[in-house]
Amino acid sequence: MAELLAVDGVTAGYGDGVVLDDVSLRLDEGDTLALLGRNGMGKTTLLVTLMGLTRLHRGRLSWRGADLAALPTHRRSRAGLGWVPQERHMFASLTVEEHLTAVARPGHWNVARVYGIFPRLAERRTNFGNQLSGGEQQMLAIGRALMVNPGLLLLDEPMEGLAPIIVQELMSVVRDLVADSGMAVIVVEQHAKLALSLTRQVIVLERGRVVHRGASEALLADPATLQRLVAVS
Amino acid sequence: MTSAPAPDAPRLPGARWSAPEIAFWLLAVAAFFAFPAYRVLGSQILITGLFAVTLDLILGYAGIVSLGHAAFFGAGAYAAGLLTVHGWGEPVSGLVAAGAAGAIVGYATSFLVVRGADLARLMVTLGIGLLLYEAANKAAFVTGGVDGLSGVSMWKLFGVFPFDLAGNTAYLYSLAVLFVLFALARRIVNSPFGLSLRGIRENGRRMPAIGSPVARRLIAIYTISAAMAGVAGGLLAQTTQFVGLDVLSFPRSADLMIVLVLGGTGRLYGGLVGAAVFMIAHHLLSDLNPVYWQFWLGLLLVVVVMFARGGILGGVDALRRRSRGASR
Repeated sequence: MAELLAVDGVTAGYGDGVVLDDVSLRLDEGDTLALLGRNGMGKTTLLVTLMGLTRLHRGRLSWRGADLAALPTHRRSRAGLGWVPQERHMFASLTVEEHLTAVARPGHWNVARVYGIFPRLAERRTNFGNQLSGGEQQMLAIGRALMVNPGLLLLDEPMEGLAPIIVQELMSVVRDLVADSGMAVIVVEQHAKLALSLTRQVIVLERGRVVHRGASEALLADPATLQRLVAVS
Repeated sequence: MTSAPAPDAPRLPGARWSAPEIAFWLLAVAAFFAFPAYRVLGSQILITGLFAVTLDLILGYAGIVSLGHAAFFGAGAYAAGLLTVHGWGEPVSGLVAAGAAGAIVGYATSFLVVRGADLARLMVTLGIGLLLYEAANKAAFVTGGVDGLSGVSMWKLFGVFPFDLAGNTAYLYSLAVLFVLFALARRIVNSPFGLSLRGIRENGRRMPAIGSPVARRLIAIYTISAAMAGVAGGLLAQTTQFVGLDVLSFPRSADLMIVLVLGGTGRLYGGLVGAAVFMIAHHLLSDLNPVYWQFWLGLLLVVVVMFARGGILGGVDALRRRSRGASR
């Protein structure tokens, strides 16, 4: 498969502060990556850096062979980075359907297909962004990211704060997405086993550095190492 | 700008004209026949309504506060007026020139306006308005200065309908232009571009991550709004066959803000309803007492802002929701 994203020796942070320290990774078209680590280790910062919302101190970001760091944030979205932020970023002044149509770009994903995978959103199409439950907001955040027809979906703790039943519902959709869509996916998740079961490769960050990289399956089969790296309870 | 939705995507909400909307426009036509003595006032209400809709585009949708929108209205009025003074009195092309003048001034100043926060925007728009006012005042050899631009004389509309003193042509011409530009504005706010403006108003920092270039979108809507405000100014110049310095004045910008807040922001019809209420109230109250009419206007404004969030139309919405809740 062709290379989609390359992160080479990236040091980045907010203002003068450094959160990520010499991070490198490579992702092919359609590949899947779990990004693990304890709280505050730089997982979210890595996604935010891909979107161009931090200061890049050193290193290279390339996207399908072109320099990603040179693009402003909105061009990165259009180039195919679909970001699902942890805070979900809903708009109280837009309905569910308007959230989707406002960002639509041509491609496989359209409003009807998003409603196809999230029937609940179709039921709530005329509700405003602040009238949704946490699970519905998460579905809408994912649906909105799909509407830009991304080559890479960035999921930042998609299951955080959701009831177990909603997590199950959402997981089955995400699992199908990851398996069938041909999109590459990076998923940041506190539930390490969940993230590992979704992905092919894994990177573990500790204080902004990569401390482990390998196959997700292998790490899932090695509870001792997993315990040491992320201290799953 | 933005791509068309995929063929099997559902229609955008609000793409269809609703029954109350159609009734509203029929009412505007009916008013022509019902109040033949008030067609001049009627045409002024329509022009002010159009002007208020243009402010709503930037304030109600994109969240740009402005106290200098008269700059574009005035630019359009002078463009249309000067064209006839220099020998070209055809109305429709005159409006196109007025719109172009508004757009040029709008685009040129948009770069100053989009970067700031609310207070900075208020001051920058206020400052640009004052600058243009004094420039027009100083350039009396072109504009006529405080005496106004005289010698504006329009040709017949389509070579058939003269601009008469009773305001017959003025009313219908203004209504037609208002309807066309309103339909355009309505289309814009319901488009993905318009939706992204609402997102920008709510939280501009989130928008780039979902593919919207914030500054460029604000410049686009500011320029569109200025062009339409220019047309409104051109309409006033053509239908009154006079351009006074007051087209650029601060009170015109401030009154416009009152009109829009009174009617309700962010719903397009608010500007039209606000213009009707404001100007009819002005007409009636200044008949009672020509000096103190602003007292009643002030009272009305305070009452509406305190008790009807979202202006008159917001209040109507709230009442409708309440009565629907009660009947259940």
